[in-house]
Amino acid sequence: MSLRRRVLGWSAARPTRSGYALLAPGMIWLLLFFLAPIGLMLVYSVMKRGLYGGVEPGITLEHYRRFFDPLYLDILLRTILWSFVCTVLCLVIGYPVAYVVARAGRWRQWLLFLVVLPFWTSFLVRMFAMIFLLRDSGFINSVLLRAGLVHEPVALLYTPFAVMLGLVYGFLPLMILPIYASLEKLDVALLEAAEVLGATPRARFTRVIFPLSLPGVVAGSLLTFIPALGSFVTADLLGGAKQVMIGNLIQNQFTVARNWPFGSAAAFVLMGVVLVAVVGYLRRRDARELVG
Amino acid sequence: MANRATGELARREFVRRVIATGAGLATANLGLAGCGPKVAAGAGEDLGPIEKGLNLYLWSDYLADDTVPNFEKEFGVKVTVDTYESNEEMAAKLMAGASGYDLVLPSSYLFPVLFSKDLLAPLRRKYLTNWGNVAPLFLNPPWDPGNAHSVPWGWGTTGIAYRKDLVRERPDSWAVFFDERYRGKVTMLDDLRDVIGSFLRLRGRSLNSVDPAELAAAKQDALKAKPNLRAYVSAPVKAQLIAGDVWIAQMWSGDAQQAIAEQPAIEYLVPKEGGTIFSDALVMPRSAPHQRAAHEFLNYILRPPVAAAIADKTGYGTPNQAALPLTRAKVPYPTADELGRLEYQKDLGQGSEQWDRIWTEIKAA
Repeated sequence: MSLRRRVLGWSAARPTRSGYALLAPGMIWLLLFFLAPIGLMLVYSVMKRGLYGGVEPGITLEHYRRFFDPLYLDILLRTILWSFVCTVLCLVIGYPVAYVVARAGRWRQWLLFLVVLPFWTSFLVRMFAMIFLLRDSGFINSVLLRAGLVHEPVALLYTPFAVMLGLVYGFLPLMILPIYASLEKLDVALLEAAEVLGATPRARFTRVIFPLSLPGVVAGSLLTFIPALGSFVTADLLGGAKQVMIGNLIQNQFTVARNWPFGSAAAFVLMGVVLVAVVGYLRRRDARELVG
Repeated sequence: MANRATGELARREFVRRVIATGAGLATANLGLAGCGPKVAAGAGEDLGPIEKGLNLYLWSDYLADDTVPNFEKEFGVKVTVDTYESNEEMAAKLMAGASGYDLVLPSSYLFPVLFSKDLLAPLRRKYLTNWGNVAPLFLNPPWDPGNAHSVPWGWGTTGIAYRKDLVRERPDSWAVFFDERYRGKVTMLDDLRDVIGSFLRLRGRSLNSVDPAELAAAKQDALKAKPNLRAYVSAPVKAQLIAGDVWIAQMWSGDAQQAIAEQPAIEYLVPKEGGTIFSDALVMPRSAPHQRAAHEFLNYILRPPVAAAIADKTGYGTPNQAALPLTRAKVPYPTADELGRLEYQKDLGQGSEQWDRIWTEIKAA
């Protein structure tokens, strides 16, 4: 059964008036602070650039046209590739972690606590902490040098490796938690049934456990992929700003370049890509599930 | 080692980035600029008695710890300090019609923008009894003739900081960034004006050039230097220069002075081809609600001990010649010869789009 049908089938009763009232704060919040800014940005993206920031009256599609230049498209493609690799790495690393945590018995709460712990500090602070780990005179190199494994510090900071490390480190909990949630709900009776019916451990995983955890995998992948697409701090701080991701390009348009319309247009192209990717992904999954 | 200054820079960088994400959407400049109240009186008119409050809008980390508390105690004024991390952010806010600020601290290149929108009130010199402390070098600057609207606050340069214990030859040319012997040990600022500007100077061009051919040459130079660079990094490089991870870094003089204070093996120079000089000055918006208190504050920071404390904290030079001997670093004013090689940044206007594209091309390469 698809995720959508499951949610829709949850309650046949129509929401009552008090049910709608409960929705109001959320709706108002989204309208004011999500839709309104996005609408504003859409308007900006077709206006003329103000020389000193802001926009000036006039309608133009020039900013969108400008974006479809190999220079900017290349940056966009590279960002998508990076985000994809980051998502796959998070999945490969995060799935076993979620699996172990979900069946850790009395240790579960503690392990879960450790997974959530990084959220106690801001993403930015964690990226700065990585600098101290990775730099030439940082912790990792000191240990390697002292252990005699290397004779010169290994260049870790300001490399593509550092950027990927930072991204995976930053987003890993977002992958682990949804997968954990779907594995934790898993009915042990199903596994017993599979075993009784002669499924090997391998088959139990591929035919029972993994399919049932798919909603978590999907949610985790989206929660990782989308913010990775828009991230800019990691590339700046850990990559030494030697590579631009689309997020850096957009941020730069609003600050240094003072080209708000172009920044808005680039943000909308990015949003369009995310939308197409996500909708396409969910559609295919839905279709597959219905067939299966 | 998380020393005090590193933590502070981290915070500053942090604030800058947080703001950078939000600033774009926060203020909309939909042609509202210039509609603010125009309450300015003639420059000679007396201001009333000192008000109870004062609202400052300054670069972050630009005050000594006791600057504001001492002023509050002495004058019985409640001071509010808002901070910003870029000229653009501040300008956008002012031009969108933000009012309530009494004193703001723009860099020199922003003055034409502020004047074009008629945002600045003339100052009453008679309240500035300590005006005589300002060094002649900072009087009558081209962006504010006769200092009618501004009081100089700090100045600095963009140059090269290097470890003289690790680098044999004095890197007194921007060409040092091509030197493969230092591959992986050099950094440039994450700032398009400074990176492209230094390569324009290398070829004897103005760092405000908008000439396509000159910019194309500068781009080629920047691309040639890129494989040698460890990173484009601004504030955080200080800690790595102190630690010796980085040997040669393009740096702002204020950051360099802070680094030298912790690691005496660091030396700072402006390359022989010259570089940027910048100067920040306090101005009073026309909409300032506490104009008398603003003048008292201006006069207060012109006192030598107050100016010296600020210079020590920020690492930037003080335009206050009476304060200079009181500062820790005692950074001398540029000599006439050096001044000839230094250039103030100008706003690039329409040319900024061209610069931005080149910068993106360099970064994407």
